[in-house]
Order: sequence, then C-alpha cells, then structure tokens
Amino acid sequence: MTIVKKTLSPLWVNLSLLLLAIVLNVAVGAVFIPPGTLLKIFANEVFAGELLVDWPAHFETIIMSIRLPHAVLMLITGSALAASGAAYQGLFRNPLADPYLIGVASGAGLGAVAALSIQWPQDLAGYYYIPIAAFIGAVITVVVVYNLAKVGKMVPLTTLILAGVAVGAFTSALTSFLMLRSNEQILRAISFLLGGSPMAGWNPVLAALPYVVIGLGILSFSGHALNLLQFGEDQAKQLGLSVEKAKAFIIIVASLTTAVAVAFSGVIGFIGLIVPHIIRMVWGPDYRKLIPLSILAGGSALLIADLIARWVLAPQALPVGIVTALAGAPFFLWILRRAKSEVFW
Amino acid sequence: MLTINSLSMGYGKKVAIEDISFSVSPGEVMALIGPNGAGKTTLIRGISGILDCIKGSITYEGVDLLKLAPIDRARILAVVPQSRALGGAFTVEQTVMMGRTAHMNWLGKPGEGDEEIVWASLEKTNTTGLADRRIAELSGGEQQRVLLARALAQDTPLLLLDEPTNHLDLKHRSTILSLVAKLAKENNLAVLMAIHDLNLVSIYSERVVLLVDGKVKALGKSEDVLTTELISDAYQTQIKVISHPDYRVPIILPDQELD
Repeated sequence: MTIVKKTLSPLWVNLSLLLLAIVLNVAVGAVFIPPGTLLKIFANEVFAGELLVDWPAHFETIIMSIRLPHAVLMLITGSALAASGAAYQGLFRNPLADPYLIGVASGAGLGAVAALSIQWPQDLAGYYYIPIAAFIGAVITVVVVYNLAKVGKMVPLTTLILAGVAVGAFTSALTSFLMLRSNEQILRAISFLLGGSPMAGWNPVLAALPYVVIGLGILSFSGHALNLLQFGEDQAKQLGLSVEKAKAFIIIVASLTTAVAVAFSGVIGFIGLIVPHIIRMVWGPDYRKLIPLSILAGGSALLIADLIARWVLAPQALPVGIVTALAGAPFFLWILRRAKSEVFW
Repeated sequence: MLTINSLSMGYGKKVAIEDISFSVSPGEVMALIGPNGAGKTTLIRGISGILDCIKGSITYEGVDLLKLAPIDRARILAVVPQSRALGGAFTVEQTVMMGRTAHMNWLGKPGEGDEEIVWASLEKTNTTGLADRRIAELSGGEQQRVLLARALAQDTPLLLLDEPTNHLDLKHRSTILSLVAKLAKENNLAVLMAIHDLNLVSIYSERVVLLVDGKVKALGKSEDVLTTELISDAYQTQIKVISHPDYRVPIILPDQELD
C-alpha cells in the first residue's frame, strides 16, 4: 500500500484501472471479442474507417450498439454513486453514509418507479423525465433521513443507519406497491430495482450524461468545503465557510447525481461505500483528491461488478446489484468494526 | 479595537448571554472567567458568529462583525476552539492550511504566499516538526498548538481562545499561555481568552471579565477582579487570595472548611 502511494500518481493508477475495466467489460460477453480486435474497432470508429477491416461485421454492431453503451452507463453510474457516497460521508462526517444505506437510493428508486409506472419511456424525451422524478424522491428522502438521524448538531453513526434503513424500507414498500399495481411492467421493475439495468442502447446514456457531468463536476469542486466540514460546522464557519449554503448545495448535487444513477441503472448498493473508503485508505482524507479519484475508481468498480454479473451464470446475466451487495455487505461489516475504534474519522 | 456593545445572544429566542459590554485593545490579552455554565464558551461562539444575536453589536474598527459573511469575518477574527478529535485524519500541515480558507479561492488551492504563512505559523507555535503527522496522533498539548497555528495562519487582528489550557498539564499550560501573550505583543493582536485556571489569568493577562449567569459581574485589572469577595460570590465557594511571591499578582487558594 505504501509503495503504491509513494511511487505512483493516484490519477494515473486510477485512469489505467478504468481503461482496463472498460476494455475487459466490453470484451467479455456471449461472444468473446479479443481486446486487440476491440481496440482496432474503437480506432476504426474514431478515425472513420481508415483501417483494414479484418473482423466479422457483427462484432461492430455488438460493440457499438450493445456493449459500449452498456459499459458507459455502468461507468457513469459507478462514478455517480462513488462520488455522491464520498460527498455524503463528508457531509454527515460518517464513514457509513452511502446513497443506498441512508435510503437516498431507495427514495430515488421510488421516484423513478413512480414515473415509470405512469409511462414507460417511448423516446429520448421520455427518458429525461425519469431522473427528475428520481431526484425529487432522493431529495425528500435525504432531508427526512437527515432530520430523523440528527441528535443535537451531530449525525451519529447509529441513528443515521437506523433512519436510513427505516425510511429505505418505507420507500421500498411504496415502490413494491406501485409495481404490483402496474402488473404488466412488474418484471421489468423488479429487475430494475436490483440494478438489472433493463434499459439498453444509447438513449439512457444520452439522457443521464448531462446530469452526471454537471453533478460530478460540481462535486469535484466541493472538496475544500467538505475538508472544512470535517472539523465540525462551528469551526468550518469560523474558518470562513458559509456552512448552511455549502451543506444544502452539496446535498442537492449529491442527491441529483445519485438520482440519475438510480434512474437509469436501478438501485445498486455499496459502490458509494466501498470505493471512497478504499481511496481514503490509500491516498488520505483530502476531499479535493478523494472525490475525483472516487469518480474514476467508482466507474472501474461497477464495470468489474457488471462483468462478473454477466459472466457467473452466462448466458444469463445477474442483476449487478446482487454482485455489489455480495461483495459490499461483508465490507460494510468490516468498516463497522473498524469505525468503532477508528480515530482517523 | 474589538468593541462589544450591550450584546445579548442566544439559541433562537432563548437568551444565553445578556447585555455584555467591554472592549479589547490591540496587543492586549483579556481573560474571560466565570463558573461552569456562566456563558464563557457561549460568548466566544457568539462573537465568532455562530449564535443568533438578539440585541447589541460586536464591532471591529467600526465594522459590525455580525453583519459580515463568514468569509469576511474570518479575515478579521480567528478562533482557537476547545473541541478536539475533529478532522483527525488530516495532517498538521493540511489543518493549518485550512486557516487560509478566507484568503484562498473557493477551490481551496493554496498559493505561494499561503504556504509561507502556514510555515511561519508552524514556526511560531513550535509545531514545524509535526507538519506531516495526523491530528489524531498528537497529544492534547500538541493539538492545542496546532489549532493555535491554524488561527495564526488566518492572519487576523483579533484572536479568540476557548479554554486553551483544558486537559493540559502544568508545563503545557504555561507554554501555550506565554506563547499567546508573546504573540499578542509581537503581532499587536487583540486577544480574548476564556479560561478556567484563575492563577494563570493573573500572570498572563492584563484585564479580566468575570461572567456570571450570562452577565458581566466585574471587569478590570486582575487584582481588582480576583478579590476574595467577587470570586467567592461568583463561584459560590470560599476562597482566599494571596500575593504571588515573585510577580506580586493575586493567587487564588481554596478556603473551604473540612466537613
């Protein structure tokens, strides 16, 4: 760990991992496409067909209209979940804050399913409404959970998780109710809630991208405010931060980012918990680095989880949320044990 | 000069401190004393803009500090807080750099001048050797010096300290207070310091405010405030005042009869 930290630039480590994850994710599937061919197909797309075509024509279709859009969707989902997880952890000064555990993802899921149960998107314009509905669900949930969990001016670990679980269970129940009422879409919706990402092609990617880019851009620049908040709200204010404004701003942006991820990829847990935690352990607590690095590493993590999800029971694909939960729940318990004695928080 | 004028503050409408008036001059260390719950910490937090103002004003050179945005106030007034163990994962250098917040842009990217001031602050507080250590690894005395360095990095004419000697042993108490007194003189800072240890008050500060039940009970030179009558009455316990054999300042001794 120390060697990695001292000798390699964190940016290059994470960028390389991300590129590797993208190539692996796109290469593996019902038809294996060798990474070499893959790179040639990418190059061919970029340079508009100047290379000699020595691969079957359907490879291009598989990659460009199925696997690549799916991979990009996984990438931006993972980035969004990891970055908003890091932001929530900083905001609540709590290592267990994660969009899934604090109920925000469930709230966003409720919003998204509510929108989907009214009208399954027919065109690109239809896709744009889902994140808005998910966003409303997410913001309402985070405000409710935060106020339930607050004891005086602090948000203790235990009450945050309890409030998150309670509110999450409540919104999930409402979601189930909605799904049972619109019975023709029930299977799609169940798969959606497990992170099964029933939406394919470039439309969801195009709809999610503007929100995610804006959200992640703003979160990347919130690092200094989050650093100050680690010293408590009083000290942050005495050092010159407009605490209430900064908090409201970061909550809204993190919830927007979570909501978009949930709206197009379903409720996927633990990415927002595990990724920032590992980054923090290796490269330290500075949020000015932590958030950008979580964006890169979150993309890699979900691409790998998705790869496993599609590979374990191939040709059948598992919902990716099952893989992240299987890997994430033990990790969560490990953090919980550490958090009791952890002084570096 | 920091001037507090008939100030009442509290949480919402609930009054915590009432009708406080006094002023602190540049170069002066003013001590804020009083029994537990008298409102010392509340007053420090209030002056730093955290409580709701009910009445009165806090001005520095004619500027009302309570009307300023936090970033503008942080260029005039720095606070050495009492609470520890916060932000423990950051290194000493990162922590002291956060004192530069009000002088940096919103990205928090330090410039060359910021680096210089941070290292000068570490130097002044004798914490240069700790620069790469994490806050949580430090002893109470070291943490207190780091928080003082962070306040110095803010480069303000006013400095507030909230019980800087709490949890410190004898040596570290005198070290930190003589450092504060020296900095006040050298940098011409107006210092207001809430403090429990009355014997340190008379050695390291010129004037004293005695706070009881959120109100100013006495204000003046330490030998005028640290008297048997005033202190016994304020703290509701019998005390005896003697004179320090070397410095000729009042020293407080308990004078409670055994049961």
